[in-house]
Amino acid sequence: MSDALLGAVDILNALLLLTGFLLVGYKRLLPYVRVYAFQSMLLAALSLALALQTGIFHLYVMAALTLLIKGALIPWSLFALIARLQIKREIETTINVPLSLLSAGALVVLAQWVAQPLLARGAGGMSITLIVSLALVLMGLFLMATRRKAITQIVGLLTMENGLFLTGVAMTSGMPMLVELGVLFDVFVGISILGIFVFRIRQAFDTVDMEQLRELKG
Amino acid sequence: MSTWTATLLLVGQLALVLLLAPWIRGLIKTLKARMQGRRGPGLLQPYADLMKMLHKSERFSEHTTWIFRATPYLVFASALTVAALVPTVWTPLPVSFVGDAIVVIYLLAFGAFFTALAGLDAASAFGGMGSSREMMVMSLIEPAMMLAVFTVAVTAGTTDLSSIVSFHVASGGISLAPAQLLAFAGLFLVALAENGRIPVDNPSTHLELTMMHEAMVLEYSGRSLALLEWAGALKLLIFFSLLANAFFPLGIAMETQNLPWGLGAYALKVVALAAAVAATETVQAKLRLFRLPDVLAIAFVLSLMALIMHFLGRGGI
Repeated sequence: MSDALLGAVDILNALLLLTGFLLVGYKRLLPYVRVYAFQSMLLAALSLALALQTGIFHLYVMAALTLLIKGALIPWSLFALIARLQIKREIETTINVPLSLLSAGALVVLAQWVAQPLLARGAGGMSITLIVSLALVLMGLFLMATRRKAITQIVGLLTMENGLFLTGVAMTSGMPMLVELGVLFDVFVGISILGIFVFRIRQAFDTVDMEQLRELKG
Repeated sequence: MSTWTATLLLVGQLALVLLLAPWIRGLIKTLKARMQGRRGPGLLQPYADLMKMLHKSERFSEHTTWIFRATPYLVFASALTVAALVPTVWTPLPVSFVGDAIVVIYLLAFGAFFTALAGLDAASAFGGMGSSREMMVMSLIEPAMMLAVFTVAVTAGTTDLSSIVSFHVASGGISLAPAQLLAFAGLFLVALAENGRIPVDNPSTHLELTMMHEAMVLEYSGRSLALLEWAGALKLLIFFSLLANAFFPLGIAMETQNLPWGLGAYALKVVALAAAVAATETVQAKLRLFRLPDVLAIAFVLSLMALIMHFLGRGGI
């Protein structure tokens, strides 16, 4: 990889890891969604860097689509959902923030440990990208497990999807165009459906706190 | 290098830092004011304040001990010593044998420790409150600062600050490895916390209940207050020098004929960092006290991740 692109990929990886930690550490809802939008833009930039290096055309298309759909359309629909729900703008967590941050750190170490056998086969300049992508997947899962509001769990799912996209970019220079397009539109439709679900939950039970919904069993 | 050159470099560095520190404070205030649509008090106002305070007489409360009277001199001396150890315009500093990065961290902690003691010494409620808050922040931020500095030190293979900067200059001048960028982010948050900037503490508040650093120095007047304010400005400039030269030492002078370049590069980097701090202070609001551990934990985890990423980048520990 050319030096300038290598440097750009390094900066983007560090920023992606930073956004992962910010998602785990933030307590306010609106900046939360903005950090997710920023993360999607970084993802588009990373695909663009890979496209510039390999010259594969569909990577340019993927970068543009990621920027459009994940960077603009999905955050916009999430903002519209938050405005319609009129929920409290604070994120409630099941464990406190410093402990969440330390767990996120432990997850990054776990991602590195898991990535070692894959890296042994050689991934060129993208070794750190692979570790960051696995870390994002794990952090998305962690977000879904430890956040109480439905919206924040949706963002956790989206972070996992971002991490998986990044894994594809890191390992295989982008998956076939058809697969990527299918996944992207699946995600968009999924978010719309989840939005409708959350609104219905709010209408039926007057709360979006998932912890309280556990007590309805039996 | 000859003793003459070494002495001149040392005196030059101390003079530069002492004269530049109040101007940086004035610059941050002016930038904040401009961003908020005001004109600000002027860039030379901190100098006028220091002159005014040096001329005024001091009053000491009858409840204070020698700690209260000695603290301003101790804090100023420790800040000045650190200023002689952190590279600003040229890099192999003549007195770098005196102390390395760990000594720098502990000298800064020494100053903070005595300031906290002085806050307690005056037996006023606000002083005690400021001291306890400051100690809470310090206990959470010291590990973050150590880890960030250790990341840079481990990359260079030494803890001597001049050698670290020389190493980074030799390996390109700008280092964009993820570990370095994360350490920079962590150290920036540490700088905000240690110097009492928003979002940790409001440096221009006049409400005692919201004060942290100001509460500890509330009882000081005259020359002692001037020394404490100057030491605070010195500490801010030291952190800026660390941030600029340990991570992006491009342009620093290694021979005497490059001194003008070194001066220009240093001025540029420090002004850029001052603008970043001013922007952060304008955009963010001061955090509630009980939210502080969240932000300080972010700084700690960033520094920890920087150190871990450094070892990851080399293919495992």
